[in-house]
Amino acid sequence: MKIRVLIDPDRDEEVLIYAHSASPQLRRLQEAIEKALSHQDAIAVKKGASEVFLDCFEILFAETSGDRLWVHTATDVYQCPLRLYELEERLPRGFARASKSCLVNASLIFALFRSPSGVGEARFSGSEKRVFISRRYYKGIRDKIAEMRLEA
Amino acid sequence: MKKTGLSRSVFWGMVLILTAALLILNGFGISLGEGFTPVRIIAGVLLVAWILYDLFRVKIERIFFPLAFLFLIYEPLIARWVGREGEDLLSAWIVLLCALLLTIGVNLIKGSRTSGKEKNSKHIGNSTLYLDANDPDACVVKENLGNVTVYFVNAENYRGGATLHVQNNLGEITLHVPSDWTVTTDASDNLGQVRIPERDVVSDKVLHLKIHDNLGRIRVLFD
Repeated sequence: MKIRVLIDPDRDEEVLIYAHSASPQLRRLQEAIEKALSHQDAIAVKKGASEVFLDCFEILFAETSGDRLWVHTATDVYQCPLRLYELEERLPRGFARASKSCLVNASLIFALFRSPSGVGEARFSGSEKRVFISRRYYKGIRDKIAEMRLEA
Repeated sequence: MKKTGLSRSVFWGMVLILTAALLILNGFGISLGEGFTPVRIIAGVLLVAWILYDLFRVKIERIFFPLAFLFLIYEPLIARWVGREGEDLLSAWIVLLCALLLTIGVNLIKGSRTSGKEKNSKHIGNSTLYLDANDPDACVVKENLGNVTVYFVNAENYRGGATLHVQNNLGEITLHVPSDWTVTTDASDNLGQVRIPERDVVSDKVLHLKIHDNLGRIRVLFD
């Protein structure tokens, strides 16, 4: 499917999709666009004293340390007032558990590595940040990446 | 006293010279007092130096055993000074037990005061530390055998000039430093690897890293 963006300040903004038939992929695309337009995927996080509304698609991973939940983008770290399971419920399908205390955005994973001990590591494009993946969740993340590639 | 190798060498050098001078004086018959045998002189000077050395370094918990040994060595002289010549003031077991209890007690008190964010020690496994950029001076990152990743939070409030102590034994430490900070290092690396990317960025937000690495790997990454 081709994507075209036309910039015309004189017309009303709309998203129009031409398709041969109504497919599950089309429905997901429609849902994703609707979500993005309604800002449902924005998560309220804190950076210092300021509250920031972070787009879920920018999140690389989120992990708990002590009693706090930290959300990482490529260049920043934010504190999230939610618990990890609450955040997991609010995040889109592209997120998966990397360990009991970490959620990773599988759609932004650039490479997966696995050590002889079975512990994995995820690397992201455009960032030096890395996430360790425990043995138990490694296969789940690989499957999630494969699933997302099939859908694309 | 600065904890540099030079000042440490100077201190112990002076202690040894003082010991030699006292032994020479004693050998010439210039008595320091009755009961000051060469063994007592050597042991006494070294133990007092040990105590002073730890006091300068604010390692209070380490001074009790040298104090105990000092007391045991000089016990007959102390007994004479207090008018109880020929008596055992305290049993050696009591003295050593007291030294042990005092060491543990002071260690526990100091440990409870430096726990939490002030001292981050990890052993084996993978972990992540979040250090408050408002006060990184209060932090010591220690790692033995495992992997630890360090992030700075509240980075926008950092004023610069802090020193972060990083100690690594056979582990891997990755420090994610905000890109607008400048890092300077004082690294002591024994068969390990310390990698800090060279950059042209000049900033007031300077973070000084005091690194001690033994057979480990330390990387600094600018996010």
